[in-house]
Amino acid sequence: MLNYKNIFSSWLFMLTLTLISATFAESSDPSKMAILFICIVTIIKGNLLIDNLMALRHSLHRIRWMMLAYFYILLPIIMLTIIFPETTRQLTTL
Amino acid sequence: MKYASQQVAKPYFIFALILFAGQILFGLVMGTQYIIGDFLSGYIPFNVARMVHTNLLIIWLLFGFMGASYYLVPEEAGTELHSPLLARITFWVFAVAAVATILGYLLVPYAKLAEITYNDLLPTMGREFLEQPTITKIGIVIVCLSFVYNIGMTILKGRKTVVNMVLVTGLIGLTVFFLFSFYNPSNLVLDKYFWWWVVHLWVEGVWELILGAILAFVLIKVTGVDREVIEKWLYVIVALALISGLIGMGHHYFWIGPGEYWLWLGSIFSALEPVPFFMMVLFAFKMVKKRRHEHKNEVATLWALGTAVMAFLGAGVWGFLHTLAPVNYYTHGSQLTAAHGHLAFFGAYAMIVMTIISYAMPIMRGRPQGNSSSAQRLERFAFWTMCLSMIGITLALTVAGAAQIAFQRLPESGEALSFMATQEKLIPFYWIRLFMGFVFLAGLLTYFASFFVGKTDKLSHA
Amino acid sequence: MSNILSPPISDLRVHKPEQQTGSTETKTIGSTAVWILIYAELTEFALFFIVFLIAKAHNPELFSAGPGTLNTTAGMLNTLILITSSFFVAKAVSAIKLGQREASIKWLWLTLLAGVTYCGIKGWEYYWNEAAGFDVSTNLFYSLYYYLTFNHLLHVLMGMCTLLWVTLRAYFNAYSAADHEGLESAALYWHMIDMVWIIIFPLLYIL
Repeated sequence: MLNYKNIFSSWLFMLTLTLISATFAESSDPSKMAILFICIVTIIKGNLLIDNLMALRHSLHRIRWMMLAYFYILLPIIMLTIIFPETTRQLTTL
Repeated sequence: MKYASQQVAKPYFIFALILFAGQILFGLVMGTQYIIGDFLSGYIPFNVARMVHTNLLIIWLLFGFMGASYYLVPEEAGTELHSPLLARITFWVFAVAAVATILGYLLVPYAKLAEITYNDLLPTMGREFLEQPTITKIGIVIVCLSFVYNIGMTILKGRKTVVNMVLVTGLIGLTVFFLFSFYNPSNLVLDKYFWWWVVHLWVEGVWELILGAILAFVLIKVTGVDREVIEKWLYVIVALALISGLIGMGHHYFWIGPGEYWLWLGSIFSALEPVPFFMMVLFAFKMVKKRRHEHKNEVATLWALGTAVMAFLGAGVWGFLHTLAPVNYYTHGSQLTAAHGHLAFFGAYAMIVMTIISYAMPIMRGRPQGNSSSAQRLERFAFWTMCLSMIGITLALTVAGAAQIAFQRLPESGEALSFMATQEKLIPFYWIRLFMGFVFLAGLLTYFASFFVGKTDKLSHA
Repeated sequence: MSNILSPPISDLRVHKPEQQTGSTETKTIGSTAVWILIYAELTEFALFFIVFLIAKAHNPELFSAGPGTLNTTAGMLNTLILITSSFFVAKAVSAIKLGQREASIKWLWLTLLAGVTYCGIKGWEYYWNEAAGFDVSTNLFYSLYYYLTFNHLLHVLMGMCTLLWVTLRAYFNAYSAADHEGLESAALYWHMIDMVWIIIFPLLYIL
């Protein structure tokens, strides 16, 4: 169910997270910790969006998990391929 | 079944499914030849297998559409078919012509076939999808005309419902556009320009009308939703399909000679083509949700919903992936095109024919509320097997296409791999595709088996 | 019927807790079709992301230099705007659930305004790239950047058309506290567009 307070605070929280992760854009080669941090921030943003703005927290459990899985699966993939480019290259060379 | 003459649809459906099986077998031959180049090459060269695969597809879909029309038009019009005899005669003419043509492809070298059939009097052969000898093409026109005449007269004499009118408009369009297969100018640009008008204006234009009409008919029957509601949706879908499709077809005109404005027209209008397909998904689920009775033929409902979804994925999403001109510059004619072609043809047109068969066949076999539950269970299994394996084929080809573009199309000249060197690298994906093809065959065989099981079970009468 | 639609579709019916209604009244969020659309689109974008990652692994120098040349300000502003638009559209849905049609329409217009702003900033960003001498054919990073962001832009435009449609429908009293499936579906689609951008932003502009 939509919750007035949740919508508003999620919005503010997501804006803050965006501003924080944008500060990392200055460095052209982010450190491993920075990559990890940005991916976690992105997952949190996805969570907030799905649970509070799309209002799936207490409903449509299967759909909610399918949406969350998008972030829980894709972001670790993004993180791993960026941290281990060598392995990614080997795995994807035909 | 309300009218005895609807029964003429039965041989059309049966023959369509036999040809469908043939299509899959030749697909498997080619899938193997992609990996083992000389597999059966002495008997069925790749070009022949491809010709048989695509021609069988088109012919079985035509049989399916004809069967569907002979079944639903009398019921919609509220009258017997104008001439059941003519329908039976055209069935045999068409069936014999189809079999003879396919045998001609397989047994005689193509050039020889052209010679025997006097292609030089009116040369029309040798173009993709339009390989049929001229005499077969004339036969197709005669069959289509007698079919449209028969359907048209039935509608004229009976009730003119929206479903009927949309269907017959699609059928007339089908016939008219086929006439362009006789136009074979020596200017290659002109030739290509009008070549696209046959099969591609079918699938992106008039066939969508046929698809919409059959889907609407089945939904009316299985959901019991008011005709007015369904008709309103059908109008919107058909209008959007024609607006987007007729000009969107211009995405085939990129860099083949027609004016540069097609880059814009084709991109913009074809980017809208997913919209009517998505409307169909919305429509199908909305109608099933609003259903007024529980039809016992549950698997027919499943087919109807499945058609809408798979058509949207294949024609809508996979088409959109590579329809914009700057993207298409790199993807044109790659395995990505094959991925789109497979999912779109199966999802939209093969599945709509199986939808109407799934609804109408049990009725014609004396089971108004669908097959026994064991037969339906088997059919449902076949449905999922075929849909999932076709998605598997599509994904394998999509990855192959992406890799092909990366190796062969994107790199600057000199760095790019040659065509055959690229194909060599794609073999792992071709194995996956072939495996999925065999899974599809298993699904198809299960589907056929579902026609023969559960005869002794208690029929699920309402 | 429920068994043929099993299991994803039957799951769309939410069973309200019994103490609230005293019965097992079922409720759905959005139309089933829109969930199919959303998942199809998300899959499509996931494929693009994977292509991007593979290309990045094979061209490390090109792709680590890439983000630095992009207009991060534009990317960040657009992230903020899309998140805000998601907030607006969520407010529109919550308003219609309370039967406040006027308020809902107001929030929908704000969402549309955010959409227009997004497009404006995207236009500025493309213009800025061009002035800096970058275009689709500069290199692989830019080709993929344009493919991803332009595709996303088209989805935004599509989402805006849908929102405009439901705004007009709301204006003509089509939705109520009891029945607002269309509005809800459009809102969900809009959230999906935001979801994709939430991933595009770090992937293209930061990492």
